[in-house]
Amino acid sequence: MGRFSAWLKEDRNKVTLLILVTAVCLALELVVHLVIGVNVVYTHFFYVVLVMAGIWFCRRAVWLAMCLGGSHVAVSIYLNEGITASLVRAVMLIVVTYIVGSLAAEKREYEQELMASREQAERKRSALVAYIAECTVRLKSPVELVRENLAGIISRMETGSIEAGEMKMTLAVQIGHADQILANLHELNEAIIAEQQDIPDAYREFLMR
Amino acid sequence: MPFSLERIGDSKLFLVLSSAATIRKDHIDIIKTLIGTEYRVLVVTTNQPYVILKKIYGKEGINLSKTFFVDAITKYATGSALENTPDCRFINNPANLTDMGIAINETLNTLKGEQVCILLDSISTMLIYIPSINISKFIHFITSKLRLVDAAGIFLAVEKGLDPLLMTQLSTFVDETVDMEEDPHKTQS
Repeated sequence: MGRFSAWLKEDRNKVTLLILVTAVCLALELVVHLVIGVNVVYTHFFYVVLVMAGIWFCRRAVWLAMCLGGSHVAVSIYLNEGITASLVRAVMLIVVTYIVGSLAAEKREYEQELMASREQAERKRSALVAYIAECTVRLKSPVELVRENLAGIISRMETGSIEAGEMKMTLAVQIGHADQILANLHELNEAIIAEQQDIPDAYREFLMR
Repeated sequence: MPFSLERIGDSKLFLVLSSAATIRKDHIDIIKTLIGTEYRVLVVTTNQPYVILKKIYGKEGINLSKTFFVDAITKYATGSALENTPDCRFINNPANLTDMGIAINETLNTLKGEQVCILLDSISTMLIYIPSINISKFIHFITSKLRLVDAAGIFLAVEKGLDPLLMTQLSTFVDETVDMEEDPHKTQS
């Protein structure tokens, strides 16, 4: 069963199976209806084919229903039977196929929308994770460096090996680093706020300060 | 621990990983080792200003005649309009990779015919100003340039401060990755 299901996943195989089963339907039409002269019961088998076609090919299956219904009506006309009952059966084949095809189309659209929405959510989540990782990289080790640079200044102050001008310049560099780190942090907050719509306004405002 | 120049053989490009606490000391150790050889060293600094580095080098007894600088932090941090000196080119902003690339290129051209080694201090500081994707492109540009002119390059970074993707990319650009916290002879190609 599993192997058959796997085989059926390809459209080409579905078409092959439908052609075979349709051929069986037409054979039934010829043998049972045309040769034996029975025009009821066997047409129920047509629904199996048409439901399969409706599920697989949605509303396009109506064309197959019209062919099978048409062949049934044609044989009735050829046998000179009353065609009202045959016409009703043919119309029912078409209506049922249309309903199955429409339901299948709706299900397929819903599945595609669901998949697209999942993919979009996954893309957004991946982008946010990548962005957070990038910002972490641009915050963590730089802050460690600034800390070590400041510790270096203190240690040089303690040994008296740093002049005032040198200290001023070194501190200015650290302030420059700190300014940019703050800007990076602000950028990260903006990205998170843009992504997460459920953050309360008060926190949103706080993060944007 | 000093950076061993035994490593500079067939391999010429190194990503050197230090801890934040020892990166300054490792910088000095590497410079000392390089100056003791035939190499002329081009220091590209985004972490410590040229003036400070010169003073530190002087105190450490490093021969300054063999060092050249590309300083990308002094102008940005102090806001002063500095003129280039014979041994230093100043860049307005550490994020200006185009100017940095030009300055490195010009300095390499002036040192044509000599054994040159670039010491970039540091990728971690550059990350403050530049997204990692741009750093990756820049390091790729520099390593390609260095290979073309047969120069050596040492890129300092704080260990554990680089994300896995950036680390993988940088590792592919260089010949060896040296972790200064690990065994000095243990390298990752």
